[in-house]
Amino acid sequence: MTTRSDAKEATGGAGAAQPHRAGFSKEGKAYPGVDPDTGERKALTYEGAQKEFGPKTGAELYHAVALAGGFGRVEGNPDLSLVGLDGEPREKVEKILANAEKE
Amino acid sequence: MAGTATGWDTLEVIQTQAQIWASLAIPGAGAELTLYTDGTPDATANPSAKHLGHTAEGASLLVKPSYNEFSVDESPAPFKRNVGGMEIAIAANLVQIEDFDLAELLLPGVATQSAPSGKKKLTFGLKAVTYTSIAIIWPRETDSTKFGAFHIYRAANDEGLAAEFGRTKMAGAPVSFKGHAITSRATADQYGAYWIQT
Repeated sequence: MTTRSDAKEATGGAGAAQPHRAGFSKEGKAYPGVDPDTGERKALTYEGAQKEFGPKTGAELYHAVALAGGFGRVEGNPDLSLVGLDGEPREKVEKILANAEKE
Repeated sequence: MAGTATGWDTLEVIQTQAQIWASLAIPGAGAELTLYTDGTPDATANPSAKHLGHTAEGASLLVKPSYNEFSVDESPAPFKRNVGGMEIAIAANLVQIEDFDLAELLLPGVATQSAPSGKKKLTFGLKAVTYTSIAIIWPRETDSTKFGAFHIYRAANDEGLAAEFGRTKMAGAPVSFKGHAITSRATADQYGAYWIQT
């Protein structure tokens, strides 16, 4: 996975525009649940998903991940920890997130 | 022939302070609450985690199924049982009751927090009940770099916010976060989990 420092180098260092990275805002700030150093998405929050992917898509993405990852659906849309997911749930969640990040 | 090993092990006795954390991220299928190396919830994996602060007398956990028993006329003792009810809870007497995030958490479906100029405020009225993901976390006796956790995925406080004020006592609030099932999870993992790092 590309790190923040890699991204800087790839665009010519300080001052150059950075390419948009999944999990980070245009200003380079990590969304909630995204490790700012490694870019690893360790959790998905309802509000964070809406900020990153837009209100409608973010909400749909959150609920899709909640079901695919076996979290279940809970009132109030609690944070979902993506750490430790394994096997089929992990594959499904990764696919959902990868598709969303492409768009 | 040989005897059978006994199970005496004082290191399996828990006698330590524990910390209560709420608003934790819910783990997915087959996964657990993610801790940092210091035993606190990993901040990135649990971006909304909230520490509930000091307690008056520590914390307690409860997992208590109740059973339906079935009898036949031919036997004086029941011959079969199934689970008829399930109680799972984390309880304590919390003393940091001027923490308004905590106070709001103690009153699901009732309290709404706001911040008028120069103040913190809770108003009381009806709204949708929200649940919290809550855990007790403690260092293990055998190795203080390892931790144990008792985690309820979906809980709500049953005790409201009640406190007594007095010059010679702390205004602690007894709380009991009662677990509720997440019925869309796997059947054997709908309430919570108890685990230790080894």
